[in-house]
Amino acid sequence: MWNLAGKIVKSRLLLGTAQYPSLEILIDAVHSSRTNVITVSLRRESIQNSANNFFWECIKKLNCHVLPNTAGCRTAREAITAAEMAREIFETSWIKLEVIGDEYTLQPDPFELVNAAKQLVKMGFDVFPYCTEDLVLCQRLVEAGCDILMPWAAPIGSGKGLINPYALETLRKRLSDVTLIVDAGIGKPSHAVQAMELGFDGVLLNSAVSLSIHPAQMAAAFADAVNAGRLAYEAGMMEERNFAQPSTPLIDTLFWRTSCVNPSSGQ
Amino acid sequence: MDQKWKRQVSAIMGEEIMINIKWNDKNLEVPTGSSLLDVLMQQEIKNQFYAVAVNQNFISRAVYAATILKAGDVIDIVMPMQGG
Repeated sequence: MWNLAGKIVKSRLLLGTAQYPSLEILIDAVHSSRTNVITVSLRRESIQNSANNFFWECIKKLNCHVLPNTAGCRTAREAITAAEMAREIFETSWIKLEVIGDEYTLQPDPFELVNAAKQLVKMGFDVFPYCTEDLVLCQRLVEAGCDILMPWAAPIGSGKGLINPYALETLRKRLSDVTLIVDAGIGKPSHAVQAMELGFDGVLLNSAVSLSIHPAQMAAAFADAVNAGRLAYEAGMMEERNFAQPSTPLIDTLFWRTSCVNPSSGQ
Repeated sequence: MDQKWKRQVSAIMGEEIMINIKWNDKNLEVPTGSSLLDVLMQQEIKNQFYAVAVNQNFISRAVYAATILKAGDVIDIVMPMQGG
């Protein structure tokens, strides 16, 4: 169990709800993932169309905490308006803050992001900013009042995994009191394991499950992966070495001679 | 001449002054002096899970009736949808 923005949750896997082949498959995937947090969004729609109400009615029955996002926003002003609208509809102060700076990479605009975060924190929101792995940007977000950061592993939907693990490791070491959740770019369960082994508090992903051949099965795989990575981190992993060290002691094994002593290990 | 006076004059003359607004990126004509609530009711909104912004400013549900629309206003109405 861990504390996420004032709520106690069991799973460290957060799941997006976009791009599933059907609502039924989405629901199955959410159940298989054992997640407690799902992300949603807002869209202009003909509100005479009751189909959209049906989506929200189904989502509410999943009994998950809802994390609305500000997808599509390009300025702090747009993101703040979207956040206020989300708060009214979803009745939550949680907001996944996305302020996009480039249409191709979908990377955040760091300046508008910090500006929006500052104002939203003052307005009482629990801000989950989607950011890059840039240490200085992350520090500015923390100074703006963010207790949670969500750096990308790789561009949204790319499935490339952790393209800069060294920077993510630096974030973990330098921001030890901040809740860190890797968001975006995860493609395989092994990527999620890697993020959790680095000591990140959680992983948020969407395409890796929704675009897989069997989303419900993949969601279960990710649930196990996040759990495995976290257990490994808490268990304390062995240090990497640049030389071989036999795991079986060789002294007095058959054919062992004194002349066989390994200069580095002494065995 | 304020909007309420204009409406009264138009009513006497048997005509209603209409203004053009943008409603979810579509052009819409509504009577002068209409409130946001008037137009929402006119559009027969059945779904209760939505939020509104006028000219990119969030408008809380509590003040829909007090928000009087002007010509050229841009109204965005959003609902829950899938998201990552």
